[in-house]
Amino acid sequence: MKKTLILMIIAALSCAVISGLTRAVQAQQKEGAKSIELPVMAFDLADGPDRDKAQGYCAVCHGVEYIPMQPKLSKAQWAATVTKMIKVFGAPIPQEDADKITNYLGTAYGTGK
Amino acid sequence: MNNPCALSSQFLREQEGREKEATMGVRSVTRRQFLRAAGTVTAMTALGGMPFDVLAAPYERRLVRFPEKTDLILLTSRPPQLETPLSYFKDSITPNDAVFVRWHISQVPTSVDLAAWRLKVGGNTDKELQLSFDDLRKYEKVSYTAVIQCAGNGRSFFDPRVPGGQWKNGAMANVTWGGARLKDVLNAAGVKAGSVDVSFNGLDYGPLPSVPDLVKSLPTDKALEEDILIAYEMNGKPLTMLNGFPARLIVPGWYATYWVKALSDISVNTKAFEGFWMNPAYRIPDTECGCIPPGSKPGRTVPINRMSTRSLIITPGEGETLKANRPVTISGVAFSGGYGIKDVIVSADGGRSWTQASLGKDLGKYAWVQFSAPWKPAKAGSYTLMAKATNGIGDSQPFEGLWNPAGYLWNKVQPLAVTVK
Repeated sequence: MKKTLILMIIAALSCAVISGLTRAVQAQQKEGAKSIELPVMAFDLADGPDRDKAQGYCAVCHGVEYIPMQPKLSKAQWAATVTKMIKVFGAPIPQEDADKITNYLGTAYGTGK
Repeated sequence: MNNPCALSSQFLREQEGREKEATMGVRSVTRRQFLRAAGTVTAMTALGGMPFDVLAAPYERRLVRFPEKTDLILLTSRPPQLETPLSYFKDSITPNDAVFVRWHISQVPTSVDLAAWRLKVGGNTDKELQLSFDDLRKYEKVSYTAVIQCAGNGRSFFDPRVPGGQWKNGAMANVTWGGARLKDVLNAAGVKAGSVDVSFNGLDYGPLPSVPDLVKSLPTDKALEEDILIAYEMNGKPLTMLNGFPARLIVPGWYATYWVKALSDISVNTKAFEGFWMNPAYRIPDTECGCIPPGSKPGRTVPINRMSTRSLIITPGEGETLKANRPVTISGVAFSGGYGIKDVIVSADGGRSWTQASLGKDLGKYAWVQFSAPWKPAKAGSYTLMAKATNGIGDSQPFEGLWNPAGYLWNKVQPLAVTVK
C-alpha cells in the first residue's frame, strides 16, 4: 500500500516536471500579439482529518500553496480567513464543510490555540 | 484514476477552456461548475485516486521559471506571485525577467492581441475614448526610473506575524518606465466638474463571479499629477505579460497596489469608488506612522499610499563569511516615496557607530540609489551590519519594526549578520 503510494507520487512528480517543462515555454511573440502559457503547479496539503475538503474547495479559486506559505495562525485567525473566503469572495462552501476546513487548518497549519 | 498525468491533462484542458472563455470576455466558472469541481476532488479522493490538483510536493520557497521570467522565488503559482532573489539588486536597474510578479486573482491575462486591445476612458468625461495601442503611443512619451514595490514587501518579518503573501525583501525593483502621461489621456477625454476620483481596471478577473475584481482608484487631483504614466515599456522593451502587458499604470512614489496591470478601463467617478481592493483591502491605520501597537486593532484607516523610506544591504549577503583584514564594500540600495535619498549611514557594529556611505548615480527622486561604504574587519568574530537611509524631506527608518495588521510599510533598519574568520 505504502509502496503504491510512493510509486504514484514519483509518477506524479515526474509528470509534473515534464508538463512543467513543456508548458513553461517562453512567450510566443507574433506580430502585435503576445501569448504565454503558465506552468501548472500543484501541492499536497499536510495529512489530517478533512484534509481533502480543504484541498478540494481551496484549490477551486487559488493554489493551495497559499496555506503552507502562511505563518502558523490561531484557530480564530483561520476561522476569519475561511469566513473571508465565503463572505467576501463568495466561495460557496456549506457551513458544515467550512467548520471542518477551519478545524483542519487550525490543527495542520495552526498554533493549536 | 491511477494515472496522474491523465488527470493533470484533464485539468489542463479545463484550464485552457477557461482561458478561451476569458479571451471572449465570459465569466468563466459558474456556481454549478464550482460545486462540480469541488465535488470531483472529494469523489476522486474517496475512490483512492489522486485529485487533479494534488501532487505530493511539499511547499517551500524555491526557484521556479515562468514565461519571460528568469528563476524567481515561488510564493504562489495560481495566481502567480514570484519574488526576486536579492542578488539582482547588485545592479542599479532590475532586468525585466527578474522583476517580481504579484497578481491577486487567478484569471490573469495570458494572451493579448494588440489589434483588438483597447483602453477605454470614460465616466464623468466630455467624451469616451477607446484608445488602441497605436493611439496610446501617439501621446508624448515620457520615461523615468522608479522603484516598484509591493505594499507587503517584508511582511514575513512582522512580529507578531500576520497572514498574507509572505514576502521577504524581493518584492521590489528599480525599472525605467516609458509611456504616456495619464494626465494627457484624461485631459483628452475631458474630466468634468464634480469628479472625485478615477478608477482603474485591468484584464484580470476572479475565478468566480463573486470574487471582487481588482479595481483601484486615485483621487482626481492625484490622478492629474504630472508624473503618473500609462506605461507600455519597461527598460525600453514591451512589458512582460506577467508585469502587465500591454500597458500598466505607474504611480511613482506610491506602493504598487495602484500600478494596475494590463490596463483596460479608466473611469472618472462622481461618487467615491468603494470596491473591496480599496476598502477594506490595502488600508493602513490613520496614524502618523501607519502603525499601531503590535497585535492591536486599528481604529480609523486610510488607503495605503506613499512608500516609506527604505534601505537594504545587498553585499555582503546574510550569513556570509569574510576574511579578517581583507577590505570589503558594504553596499546596497536606498529609496523613498518620491523624495529621493539625502544620505545613507552604515554600521558594522550593530548600530553603535556609523559612517557615511557614498551614494551612486542619481537616477531621480523616484529611483533607488546605490550606496557603498568600505569596511575592513580587523578581528575575527560575529558582526552585525546595518544601513539607515534618510529621504529628501528628513524621514528615516525605525530601529524597531513598525506593526499594522495587514503587514504593510515594512522599513525597519535591518540587521545583517556576517562572520569574520
